[in-house]
Amino acid sequence: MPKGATATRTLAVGDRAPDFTLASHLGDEVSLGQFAGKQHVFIAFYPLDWTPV
Amino acid sequence: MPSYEDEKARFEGYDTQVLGISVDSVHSHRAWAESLGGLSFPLLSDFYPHGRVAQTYGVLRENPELENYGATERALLVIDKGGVVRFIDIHPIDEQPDNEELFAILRKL
Repeated sequence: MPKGATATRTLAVGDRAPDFTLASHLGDEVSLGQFAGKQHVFIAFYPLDWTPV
Repeated sequence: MPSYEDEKARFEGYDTQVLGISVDSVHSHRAWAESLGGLSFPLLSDFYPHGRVAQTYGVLRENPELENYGATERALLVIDKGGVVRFIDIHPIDEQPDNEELFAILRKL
């Protein structure tokens, strides 16, 4: 993906975010949908744990 | 990820939940979070089926010729309360993004 890309291979600004449910290190499951109408969500995909950045 | 913990109060001020996602297991997430002194926001495990959410979001590195093949891009997204994508930033994988750019977006929501 080019440096500073502002779209992913499947998503662009203005699209509806696909819902998901994943296990959390805090011990529960988290869904994107549980924040709907309540909070904005900042998602940081990151390559791997144990990396310095 | 630690920089987002440092900015916890600002995210709260902008009524924003932080979620970290990688293809690591929950066990790895727990151990890593502990080594960082704890993270109050969830690290989510996109472990099995491997990278399914990342693939749906178009940020899985599926090209075997790429470094970190099988991991995700360093991709930042802001989803507003209505479930709409408002910001996407794909960063070089070894570079720490600038949080101020992110807060400028959150301020406008």
